Amino acid sequence: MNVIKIAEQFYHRLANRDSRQGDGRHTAVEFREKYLSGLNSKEAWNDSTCSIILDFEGVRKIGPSFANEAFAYFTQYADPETVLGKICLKNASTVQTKIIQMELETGYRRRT
Amino acid sequence: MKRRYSYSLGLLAILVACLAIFFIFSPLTYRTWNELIHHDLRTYAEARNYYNAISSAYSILTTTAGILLGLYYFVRKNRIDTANRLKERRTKRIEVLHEQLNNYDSIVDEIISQQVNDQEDLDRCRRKAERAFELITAILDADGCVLDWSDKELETILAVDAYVNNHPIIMEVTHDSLNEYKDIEIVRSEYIDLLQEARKVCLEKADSIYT
Repeated sequence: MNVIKIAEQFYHRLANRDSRQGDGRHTAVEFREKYLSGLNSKEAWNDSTCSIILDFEGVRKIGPSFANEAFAYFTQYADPETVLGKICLKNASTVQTKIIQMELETGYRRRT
Repeated sequence: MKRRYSYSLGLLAILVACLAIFFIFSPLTYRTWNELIHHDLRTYAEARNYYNAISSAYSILTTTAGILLGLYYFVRKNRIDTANRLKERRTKRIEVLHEQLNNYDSIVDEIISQQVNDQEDLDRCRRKAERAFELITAILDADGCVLDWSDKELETILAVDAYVNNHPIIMEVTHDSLNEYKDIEIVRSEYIDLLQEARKVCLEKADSIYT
């Protein structure tokens, strides 16, 4: 099973949704395409077993817009519970987990 | 629990006093108590010895009672002091949280009120808003059961930044687009509703500290 240490392998501040937000770097779109591309199909969601572990150790911040673009994106394929079952969070703080859960419940806020 | 302790102590004190009265007066009521407790105080020496024995016994009893009461006071005082210290920590934390919410609000209000001068100013406000809410999330994360936020309370507070951070008008568009946006009052109204709910949660939490 794939374990991604986000702070080491990507960035410790997860703030920007895409290139239009903030400084446009270390974006959720980039994160999703780099680490979660395997889940970007209906077939990938046929089972709900954990297929990737995201280790949040060292992650200082996750913004709601990042969480929405990176995780709520997959609510087009599965419900929030299934998404969290498939993408396992490790060492995420209470608030970080809550931010991700809230964005999953709200659903993907598609950008035009 | 407090009342039960007081009643028990009160009853104990009454019992000890009754016993003292009994032992003091029993030799004097010869006829009534002689069958239960035999006293034969014929001489002054015998009476003196008897009352000396009672006095010694009661000295030991009152000294022991004094020590136990002192220990009880010490334990209770420690508990009360610990509870008061926790209340102070909780109050302080709520105050800081409230202050940071106000700070965050003043920054976001600059953007929503279209009071920013140029793109650079707008970017600066956006960065400040992000940092301000980071402090709020740090306070919530570091709670460690001091305030013991429920899921619903956390969601209410986090919903403010979820709205702001996800709103393209507030956090993404250019300065010109922000100024030209016609429905900014709707954005302001929705934002204020969420902020008021968050403030309400903080105030209710503050109230609950002393109830």
